[in-house]
Amino acid sequence: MSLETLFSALVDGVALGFIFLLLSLGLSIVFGLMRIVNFSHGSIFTWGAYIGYEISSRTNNFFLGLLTSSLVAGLIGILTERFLLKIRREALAQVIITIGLMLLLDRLAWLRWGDITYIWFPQWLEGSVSIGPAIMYKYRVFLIVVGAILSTTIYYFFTRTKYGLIIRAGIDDREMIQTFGANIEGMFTLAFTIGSILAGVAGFLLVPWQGVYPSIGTNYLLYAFAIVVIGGIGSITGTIVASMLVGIAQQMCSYYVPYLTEISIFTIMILVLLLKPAGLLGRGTE
Amino acid sequence: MRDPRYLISYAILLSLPPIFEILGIARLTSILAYSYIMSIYALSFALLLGYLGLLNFGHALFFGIGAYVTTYQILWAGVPYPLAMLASMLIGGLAGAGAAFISRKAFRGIPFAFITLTLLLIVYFLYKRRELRAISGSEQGLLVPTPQMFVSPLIPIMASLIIIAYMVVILIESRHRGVVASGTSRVSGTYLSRNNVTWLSAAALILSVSTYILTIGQMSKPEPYRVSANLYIVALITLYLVHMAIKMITETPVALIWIAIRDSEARAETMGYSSFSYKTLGLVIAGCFASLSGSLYISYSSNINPERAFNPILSIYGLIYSIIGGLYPIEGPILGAILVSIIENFLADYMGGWSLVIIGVAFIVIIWLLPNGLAFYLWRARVGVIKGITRRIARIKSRE
Repeated sequence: MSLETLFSALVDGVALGFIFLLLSLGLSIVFGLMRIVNFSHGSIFTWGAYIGYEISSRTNNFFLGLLTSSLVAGLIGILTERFLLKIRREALAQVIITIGLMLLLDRLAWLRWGDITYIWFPQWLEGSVSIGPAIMYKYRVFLIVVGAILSTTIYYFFTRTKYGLIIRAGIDDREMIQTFGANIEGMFTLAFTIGSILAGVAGFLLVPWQGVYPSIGTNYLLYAFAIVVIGGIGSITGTIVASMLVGIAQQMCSYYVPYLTEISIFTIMILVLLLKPAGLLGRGTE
Repeated sequence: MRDPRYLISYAILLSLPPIFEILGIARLTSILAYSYIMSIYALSFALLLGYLGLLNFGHALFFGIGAYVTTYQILWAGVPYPLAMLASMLIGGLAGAGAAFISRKAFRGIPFAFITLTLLLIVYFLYKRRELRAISGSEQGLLVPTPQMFVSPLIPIMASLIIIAYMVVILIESRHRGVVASGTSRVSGTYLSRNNVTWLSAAALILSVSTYILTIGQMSKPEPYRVSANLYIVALITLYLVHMAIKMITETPVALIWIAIRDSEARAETMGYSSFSYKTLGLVIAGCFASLSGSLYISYSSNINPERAFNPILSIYGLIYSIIGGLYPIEGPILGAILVSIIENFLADYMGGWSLVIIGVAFIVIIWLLPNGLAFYLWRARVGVIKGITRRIARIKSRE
């Protein structure tokens, strides 16, 4: 167990933590605000990844891919919230709708792209850099930078701007902000769309690292569920802490004890749930 | 339990395999057998969701426990299949109590759903490890030999004998008490008047015809056909027993307390009911029935691996069955499971890769068009038909 390995596992863990953060933040907010479990979130992640891959591998432009994947993911999100979820009001029926959407989107992706894993690299991010004692992949360092910028922006949005504050207030008490005259339906759409865009971006950012295949979104959705529950439903800070925790734990395990990766994360999750059912930084229960 | 209408519907279903064979759609026998197994699973899921308000995303855990415990008993100890089923039901109930104990601090809503999901995922990922190949079967799965009872012609004969005995009991009882019929459900509070004599003669006729078809239909048939027909009979009879058991449970005072806890836990606690013990009871019952469906499943697939037994998708399917069929009346999840399994099977045959796309769209459309679930509308349509007939009779009488 050398220091270099430890350091690169740590860097990889933080980079993965940012991906997890982007993916699970939308899930957590939608969960807290609308009280629905959004199973289609992972499929939006997959579609963001595929669309971004298609665009950027053709134009050879990383940022164009980032832009299109966020646009497509946002479009899927806005259509889902505006039309599909309006079909029924009850939370359970909405869960079934998102399950239907998950099956639909995952299968369409499989029909179009098949079981192959696609990886694409921007040329200027290939190779590695040496920071301190260890040699890092350039892309993972880049991922940390991008992740840090994005999450600072998101944190700013949710703590300093009007709509962010309304959404967070809505997570705490939905009826109260309605009596204050906030447009709750608009907030639902806003939260859902932001969540979908973040998921799409997360999907695309993972393409140069782990590639994209049809079931990647659903696999990562399980981790996102774990993160949301560990951090506390609807808690922004909790989600950030839990993402880093799970990301680092996942990478540490896959470096040192690969056969315990999933099991260790879900064991963390159950320990947190048993000691604090509301999550690490969540407030109250249902 | 003694409502002849259920007996009649199940007796009709029981005589279907030979008819499918004549019509040339024998494949439907095993599809329906699978859907009955899933119906038992869906019933146990819906009992938790509908009566206790507990959304159990880890329900596949009980299913998988049932499947694996039965497999271990058959493979390692040579226990006869029916006995292994009973034992795994017990283990499933214990697992339910264990899950209740672990989630005692967050025994409601989303936290409960996620604790059980996590339990399931831990077992799922543990069993998927190659290191545990000896007990989990890993990707290839553990092969379970077809239980001897499915090859012998004993099952249809036994089934016919049971049906005849049942008919005799009903006839004897009805001679001095009339038919005891409980209506659809005491909880939903609907009673339908009926003509005892009509029901009884219909029951006697259909029962004797179906027992005849059942015994004659199995003579001199090749073994694969007999196995699938026998599985069909066993699955259907088990489904009948589970259905009646759950119906009886939902008509006891315990179910009323469950509903009280579901609607307002604080109020039920104030009235002196310990919500933890009632929820544990519900979880134990659901665990029993879910592992029963798991242990029936191994004789359907004869190969068990973690991907089939502990798949998180299976828990989601419990929700799909219950919502599409409807939680109330309790027949809803059965209808949902049968409908969804048949649709899935046929779509997989005719549409290939597109089948899941269509199923996804179908879920959304069904939720959109039938918000209360299939069973509710069927039940309402039937009440409408009965009302229409009585109105017409009244009109004819007034004309005279």
